[in-house]
Amino acid sequence: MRRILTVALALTLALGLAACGGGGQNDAPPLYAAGDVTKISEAGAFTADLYDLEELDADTAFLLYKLAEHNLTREDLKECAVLRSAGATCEEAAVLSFTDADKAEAAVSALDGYITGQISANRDYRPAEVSKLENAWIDRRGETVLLVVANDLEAAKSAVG
Amino acid sequence: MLGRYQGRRADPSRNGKAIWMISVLALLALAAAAVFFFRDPEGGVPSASASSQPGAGSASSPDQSVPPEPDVPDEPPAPSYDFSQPVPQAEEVDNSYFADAAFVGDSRTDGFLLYSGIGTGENLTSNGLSIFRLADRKALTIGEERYTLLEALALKEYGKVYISLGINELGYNDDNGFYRSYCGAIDEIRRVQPNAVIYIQGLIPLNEAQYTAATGRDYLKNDHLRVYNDLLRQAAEEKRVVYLDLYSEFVDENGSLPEEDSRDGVHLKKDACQRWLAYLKTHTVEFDTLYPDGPPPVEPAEPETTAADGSGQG
Repeated sequence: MRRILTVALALTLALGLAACGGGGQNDAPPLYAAGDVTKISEAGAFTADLYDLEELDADTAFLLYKLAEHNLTREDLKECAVLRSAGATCEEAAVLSFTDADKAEAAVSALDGYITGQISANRDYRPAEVSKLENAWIDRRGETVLLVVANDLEAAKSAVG
Repeated sequence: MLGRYQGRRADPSRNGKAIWMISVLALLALAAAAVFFFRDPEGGVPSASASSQPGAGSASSPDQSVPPEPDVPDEPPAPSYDFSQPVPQAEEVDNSYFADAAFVGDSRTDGFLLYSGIGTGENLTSNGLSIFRLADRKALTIGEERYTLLEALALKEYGKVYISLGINELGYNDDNGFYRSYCGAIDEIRRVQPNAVIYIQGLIPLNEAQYTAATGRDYLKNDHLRVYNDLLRQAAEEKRVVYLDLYSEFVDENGSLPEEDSRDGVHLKKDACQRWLAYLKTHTVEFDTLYPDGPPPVEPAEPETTAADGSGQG
């Protein structure tokens, strides 16, 4: 009887562990957060230090990234954090948080278009920045999107994991 | 028997009646005269005899259907606007003033629109744009079409057009060409925006040391920038558009852009962009003040001048 109970308990524990380990949802990386842009800057990803980069508010970011052209409304953009060079370079980092994952996916297209435009605008004007733009990192996690144009992209990726 | 004839001696009662009647008539005549001369022109009812008299319309017998003009002394005409001087300081306007403004310029203006907090206005800027290429470089993409900045400017009607170009031209030794190109650009802008106030923004100084440190180049000089600003003032006066003396607003005691206003010596940081906006908000002028007799005539189109390559620093 004792052996039967012991085996039953072991099986129960094994099944429980298997259930907890299945599905993969707990392995997903965390959503991007506003603080990630500061981490990226502090990790030395940019030519300029944190205090030489300019913050943009959500209204300006909405216009800058031309989100409306991808059927997004200002209300779809819940919050954002943007650090951007004032003109010395093309470096920037942005975390945009939307109301749902579909809106975030539309924003990825908008950011692709934004980077293409930046490459075109700077090919003759700031040719040294074009390689940073061509290596721009755009990544979506759930309803959040990250954009990084950096001097040291590896430092940026290490900062946000 | 003799009758009661009393000869020519009048009957006393008869004489009294005559005197009385004459007196009454005299009094009535006096009363009528008093009414005629002293009545209130606005409230009084004219006598039929006065209003029916031909040629009676005079200061003393005005037509009651037309109120008399108030006695206002002639005011001297407003002085015409002095285009030889920068726009004077005026009462601050709200950001909404720029809702019908177009901003034509290079990357400095692009930064201004992003970081100043203006929140409105049309961005007609292109990195590296120069005045020499304004009319032929397809610098803007709107929808699927590519436009020159002047073509893009013609797509809508604006109440104000702000122009800021000149940094990218500092490396050229063609001051006359710069002046002619700017005058030609003003003519073109006036042609497509005849009812807009055209503001020529004087060039904000550079920080030469920062520029050299950031780029390794040293051919952008404030001395040449000052020459260009003098030419811009002349162009504004000649073309009767207004000049904004932004240079004086930013220059330090060394004739340079202060270090804290930029990182690369050319593009302004957010605080400086906000000061730029504050200057624009306190230096505005109305179209009717500039042109009380209507828009100035539009110059006929001139043959295009030789264009220089517009790649550059701003």
